[in-house]
Order: sequence, then C-alpha cells, then structure tokens
Amino acid sequence: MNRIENAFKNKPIFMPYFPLGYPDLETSIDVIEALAKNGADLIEVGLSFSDPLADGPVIQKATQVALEHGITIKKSLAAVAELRKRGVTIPFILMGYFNPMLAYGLEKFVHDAREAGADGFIIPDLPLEEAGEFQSLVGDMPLIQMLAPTSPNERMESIARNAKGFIYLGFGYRCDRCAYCHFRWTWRFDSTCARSHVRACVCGIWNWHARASQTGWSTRGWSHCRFGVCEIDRE
Amino acid sequence: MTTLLPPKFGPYGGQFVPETLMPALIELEQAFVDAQKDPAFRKEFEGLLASFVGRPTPLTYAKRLSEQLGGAQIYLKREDLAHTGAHKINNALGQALLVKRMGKKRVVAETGAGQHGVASATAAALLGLECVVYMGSVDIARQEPNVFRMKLLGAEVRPVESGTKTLKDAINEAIRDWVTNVRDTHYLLGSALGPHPYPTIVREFQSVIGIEAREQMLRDVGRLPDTVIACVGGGSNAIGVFSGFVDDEHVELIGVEAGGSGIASGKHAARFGDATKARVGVIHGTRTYVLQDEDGQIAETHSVSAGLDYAAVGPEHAMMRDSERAFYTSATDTEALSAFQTLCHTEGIIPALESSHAVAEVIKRAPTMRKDQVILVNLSGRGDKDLNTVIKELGNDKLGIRHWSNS
Repeated sequence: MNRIENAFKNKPIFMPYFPLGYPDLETSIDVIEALAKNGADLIEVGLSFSDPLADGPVIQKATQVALEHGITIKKSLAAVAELRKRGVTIPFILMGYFNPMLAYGLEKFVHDAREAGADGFIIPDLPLEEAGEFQSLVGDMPLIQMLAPTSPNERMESIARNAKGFIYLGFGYRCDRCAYCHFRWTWRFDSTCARSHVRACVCGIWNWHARASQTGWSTRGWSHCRFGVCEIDRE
Repeated sequence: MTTLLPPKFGPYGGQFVPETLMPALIELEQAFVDAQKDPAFRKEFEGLLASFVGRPTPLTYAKRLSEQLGGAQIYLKREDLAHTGAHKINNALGQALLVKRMGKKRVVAETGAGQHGVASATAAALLGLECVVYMGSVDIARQEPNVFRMKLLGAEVRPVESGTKTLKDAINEAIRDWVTNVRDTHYLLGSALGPHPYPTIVREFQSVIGIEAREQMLRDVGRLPDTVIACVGGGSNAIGVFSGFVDDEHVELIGVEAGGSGIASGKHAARFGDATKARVGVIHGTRTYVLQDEDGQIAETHSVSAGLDYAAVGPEHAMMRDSERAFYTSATDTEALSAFQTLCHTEGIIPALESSHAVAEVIKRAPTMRKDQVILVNLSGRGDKDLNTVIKELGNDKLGIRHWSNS
C-alpha cells in the first residue's frame, strides 16, 4: 500500500505531533504543512479533548487553547482535507481520545477521516481490551497499537500480533536512565537526552524481541526495528 | 485477554486506559481476588474496621424529623460517625491493605470534597505509605479544613490548576502521576468509577455499609426499609448501601444527584437528570453516563457540594438505572442547604452537604408515604468541612432560622 509503509522506508523517521486548532486553526494547518515540507516523515495530528489524561502539560495547554478557539472533530477533519488539497502527501495519524469520537459517531468518524485523507488512528485510552468495536470499523486504516515498558511479554506478543501500520512505544513512566527525562506518554525528543533514551528504549524492545524470536514466534517483518521519534512535551 | 472478574456492568464500565496502566489493573485485580479469598486479609480488614474506624456505625431513628414530616419513619445510617467523618475510610483502608499486599510503597489519590483525601492520608499514615493527594484549586478553596487535615496526616496535597480545577481534573492528574510512577505507586481511587476493577473493588469495600444496615434494620426495627436513599457523586456510598438491599426486590433504591442551580440552568451534576447534556461516553477509564457537549468535550459541572461535582457516574449505577433496579433523582443546592439546616435543627446532626442531598429527597418523599413505612437514608458524612461554604451561602445571620422547603 500505502503512505505509512512508504514513510518507514527511511529509518529512523521523524514523526512530530501537532494539535489542530493551536494556536488557531489556520496557523496549525500552516505549521503541519511546513513540517511536512521540511522533513517530517509522518505526522500525528492531534484532536483536542478536554481531559487528555495521557498527555503532559504542554499538550494539555495547547489543546485547551485549541478548544477555547472552537476546534471540533468536524473542523479537524476539514483541516486534514485542506492539507491534502495543498499537496501534503505524508501519512497523517489522527491522535485523540475516544469520547469525542464516540460523540461524533464511530462509523461516521472513520468514514469521514478516510474521506479527508487520514491514514490511521492513535487512541491512547483504547487498549486492546476495548479496541474491538473500533477495530471492526477501520478496515485497512490501522488503529496503532501501543506497547509500554510495563507490558509483560505475553501481552506484548498479543498486542504485536494484532498490530498494523507500526507499533507505538508508550513511555509513560519516569525513565530511570536519564536525568533529563520526565516522559509522559511518548518519546520525548530532546537534543541532550534523546540518544541515551532511544538506546534504552530500543534495548528494552530488542530484549523482548530476542526472547520472542527464541520462543519461535515470528516477528512478522518488523525485525528491522524501525522506530519513529516524536513529541516534544516540555516547557 | 480475559479478566478474573466481570469488567462490565451491562454495556457500561470497561478499561479505557493507556496501555501503560493495563498491567497495573491486571495486577490489582489479581491482588484483590487473592485477598478476598484470604481469611487473613479479611480478618485484618474487618479488625481495622472495628478497632480503627469504629464500625459498625449506628443506625439512628430520626424521631423528630419523622414526626415533623408526618409520613414515613426515617432511619439514618451514620457513616458520619466513621473515623475521619465519612464512609470514604472503608474503601481507603481496604485499598491501602491491597497496596501492602502488592508490595507498593506509595499511593496517589484524587479528592473533591477532601473526604477521600483525608481517608487516604489516614490509611497511608496507619500503614506507613507515602501519600500524595491531587485536589483542584477550586476545591482547595472551598474545603480548606480538609486540606489542613491531610497535611497534618503527613500527605502532600498538590493543587491542580488545569481545566475546571475540580474533581475531574484532580483525577486526570492522579492518573498522570500513576502512569509516570506505576511501578511503585497505587492509585487509591475513591469512588465507584474509573476502569475495571475499581468499581467492583470500591463496591466490595463499601458493601459493609449495606450489610450492617440490613442487619440493623432487621434487628432494631424488625423489618427491611421500603426505600433506601443515598446521594450519588461517583456513587460509592450509594453502591455500598444499595448492595445490601439489591436482592430484596421490594426495597426501592433511590440515588440523589446534585441538581446545582437547577437542571434548566445547565449548572448541575445530574448525569441522569439532563437528557440534553448527558450521553453515554467514556471518561477516566469507564463507559457510563457523562455530561458533555455535542462535540464530546466533558462539560463543566456545578454543585454546592464538592463531592458531587463530577461529570460522570459510576458504571454500575448506569446499569441499575437502565434496569430500573434503582431510580435516580436530584436535589438543588437550595434544597440541599435547606435539608442541611433541617437535620441540624431536628436531630442535632450536622450532615455533609453531599449527604444533605439525600436528606433533601427524604424531605420531599417522606410526607407522601404512610406512617408505617420506613425510609433508610445513608448519611455518608459529617458537615464540619462544609461550615465555611454554608455560612457563605446562607449568611451568618440566617443560621438560626428554621427553613423548610415544603412546609
């Protein structure tokens, strides 16, 4: 297929997050366009929610501003369509919380997201246990699965088996290897700590990966460990 | 992946949390299931409920209130007399014992009225755990005495300035802390909501209210109540008392939500009472009735009582409402304040503003019932913490005046 697989041809990829509607809708569209034209390989397009419990203070504030300025799912999807119209071709993964999608109507949301030109979804409050209903609606658009360092091996395995598109390494805990780190949910990219982090994180996954290989479980084509780095969430 | 206990209540409940927390929920469920089967755990918990909390709490016949209302006989389940002044201690102690069992050393808690924060700080002090309580800055201002109590008990109170600066934002912050420190930290959730297994755990630890009340009714009154009334924020005191009577089909169960300035004003926390703003949604890990706008953003709520000021209701209540096993109504701020004064004057009991909502429903309902009928009301907490609010709302000069809503 597809735009996501294409993006991962160049590794590692740069995968920034930006919330639509911050500081206002027009500017956010311009920012995402500029990111795409200046090296971003894939963009996590943020859909704002009043209670973003998996995000840190910077994203909270930004999405709060976006909401105060009237951002909605409908306007966000129109903005995605506008970006496609402007010729942006890199993949867009819509990142948002479940409740606004429920309120919009799940089927309609998936349909309209596809029409607008989105490529997949990240929904932090929809773990494997609750993903079935949404999963059944998305067709070939991946609902990106997450792994956490706290996930036990068998859980990692069943998540990875179900994974499409790519796997998101969710680091929501305080990293004990790096003094700079106060990870909230994803990799925080920072010139002073990124390298040690990336190493620590990838090592963790590699260890698991090696164990998984030994037990005879096929890693299905992501054995090259193509990881993206995203999200600056720091004041 | 399967759970040990049912994760849903009909279509409600579930585990809508980040992946980072799923292993912690699985661990918690396992610890809870093991503990429930372990006689030593039960013995320790029940021992502390007796020797530390002061259980069983009494059942008090509200003689003068019953006479003045002229209808049903009214009995009060006195959770206000539990140590720390509310039912919250039952669950806080139960969960703190689970924390010891899991080998964790730190608890985080959210609090609205401050009662759960105080209960958590108390349980943490008793069992030697580090305790951090998140509290919205709006709630800190209106529940100041409880903030002092938490600090005195050795807890750190962290003000929450995000969003509406009330309970829901305190929960967001507590969850963020938990996500960050999940390996050594337990989230001591204070109400019957959040992701599975919390609604089940909280109900089980609060079921002591209903078990005791049922025994006391049979022993002291010689019969079961016709109606059981409790206030419903997240719904832990209500689910605790309801659970004792849920199998007695003829006992009517009534939950009372915060009507705030009135449903029509839009300023309230009546998740079941406002068909325009309340829809089934997902917040804080659970699927339930949620006050929200048409775009799915969580609505601001209002209540004079901080403990009821929350946009969602426990998932088991949502199921009981659908099945009509329980019925839900609301009382406005004005009605609750009036009921507060009424109980002070007629019974010599200063109730929490939360519990005053349940009393307000008693005042409406008792006169419509016969004198041989019986209402049991769960008096979930005492009102010392609310004195500043009450004086501000009513004015110091009006405090001595008897104020009846329906006489």
